[in-house]
Amino acid sequence: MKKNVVSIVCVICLASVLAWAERPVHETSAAAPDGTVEVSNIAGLIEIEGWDRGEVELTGNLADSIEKVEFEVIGDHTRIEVKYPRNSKEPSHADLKVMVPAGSSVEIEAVSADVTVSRVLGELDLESVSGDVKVFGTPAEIDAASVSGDVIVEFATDQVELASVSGDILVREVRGELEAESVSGKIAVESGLLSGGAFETVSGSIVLEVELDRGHLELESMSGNLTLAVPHSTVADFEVETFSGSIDNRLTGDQSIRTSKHTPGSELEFSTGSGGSRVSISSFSGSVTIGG
Amino acid sequence: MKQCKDSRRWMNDAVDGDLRPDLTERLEAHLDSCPECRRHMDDLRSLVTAAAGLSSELVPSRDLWPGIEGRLTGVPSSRWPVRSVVLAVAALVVVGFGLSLLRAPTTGPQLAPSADPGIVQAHNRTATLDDVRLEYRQARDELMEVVQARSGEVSPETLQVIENNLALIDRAIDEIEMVLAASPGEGRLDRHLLLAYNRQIELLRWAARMPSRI
Repeated sequence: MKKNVVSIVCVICLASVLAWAERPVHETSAAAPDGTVEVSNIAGLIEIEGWDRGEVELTGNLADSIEKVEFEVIGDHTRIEVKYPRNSKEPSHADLKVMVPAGSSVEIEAVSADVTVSRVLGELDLESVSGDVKVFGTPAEIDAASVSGDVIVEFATDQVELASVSGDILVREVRGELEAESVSGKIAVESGLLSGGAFETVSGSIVLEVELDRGHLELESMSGNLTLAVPHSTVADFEVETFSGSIDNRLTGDQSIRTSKHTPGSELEFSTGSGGSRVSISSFSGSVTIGG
Repeated sequence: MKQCKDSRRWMNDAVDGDLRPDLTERLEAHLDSCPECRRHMDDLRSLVTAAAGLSSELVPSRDLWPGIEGRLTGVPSSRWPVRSVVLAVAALVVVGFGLSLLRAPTTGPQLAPSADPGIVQAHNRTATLDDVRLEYRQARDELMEVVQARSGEVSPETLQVIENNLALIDRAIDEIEMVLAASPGEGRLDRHLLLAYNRQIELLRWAARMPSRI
């Protein structure tokens, strides 16, 4: 009996080792300087980095259980897709690093894989279910979403659209317009110059510490607290409205007024000068803080 | 492929006239070269035109849906379920008229009360707030069906987040309705109600369209 148990344990250990055994992958191909690179991988890592060469290079490690990685270049489109075994119960993953021409546009689909893109100047379309999505650099446009993973962007420019369900969204050094939407995750913009944008949550909080450069900025939540910290020198027209949440204006002396005898909600309109930004903030029960 | 995906995301805003000029240009350029997206856009425009032509209703007849759903094709992405997207788009178009009211400047109510407290005016069309409630609830129920059908594709944790937040919005709607009952026809309350419905539909749309974990 004892011998049988030992044998079973050995078989399980061997199966585990085989399942986690890895093999390297290395592919290279010439690529257009401003082409599109599409990468699809379920689990593991996807790391994309721009470089000044006119080629795409794929390196990484694949779990032995993975069937193959398809790597093909058709015209200016490069496609990399990890093929997983169908109906396999074994854990499986692929860690990929892809060097791309810096001017490329990148499209990524992942499930639990974490995604990182850096030094790419084209458009980015990034999507993961539970993995984190991180972008470093100044791509022309970012569309990034994760369901439960975090979305982190540093040094973004121009047009950025970010979304999550429960993951947090964090942006540092934004320039231009930004749209971010979350259900319960927190949205935070730590620095930068916004020329417009829309931020929406249900229960997640929104904290923006930015400078405003004209444009229309909208913040909206149901129960999440909303904080907008802008310099005292900001020129903007503000409109704030809540159903039951409080409004705390630390930027000027203007006070909110109650809008209904049946609810504690209030509204506040004030201006710090003409010709600047327009800021609209709306919350159901979340508190609103506008600070300098 | 990305152009198709982007274009279909912009179409709802385009039919509402809310799409930024630069994106409108890109959308139109893509429609010139993609027959499938052009057909998709034509279907959306037809539905919105049909809705706009109704003088006493905010939304088109539900009978339009099966035909629209049959003609629409899914976005070209393997992990985004076609039926979910079709229903989500259809629901959005149906509620789009109400939602477009929310996109107007936030000052003042978009559904202004008339002399009759139960009647609201919207862009020269007349509809009762009850009509709006009914349509939002129908859109919600249909999207909810899609979300429930996908429960096996989404992680339990994510489903829990969605359910908790839907419950939160439900409670908010109940609170607004209670206050509305005490002071009917108050424009700001109408607006809060529409905002809450908007969040609910947006959340369900997310849940219906989000990529599966497998």
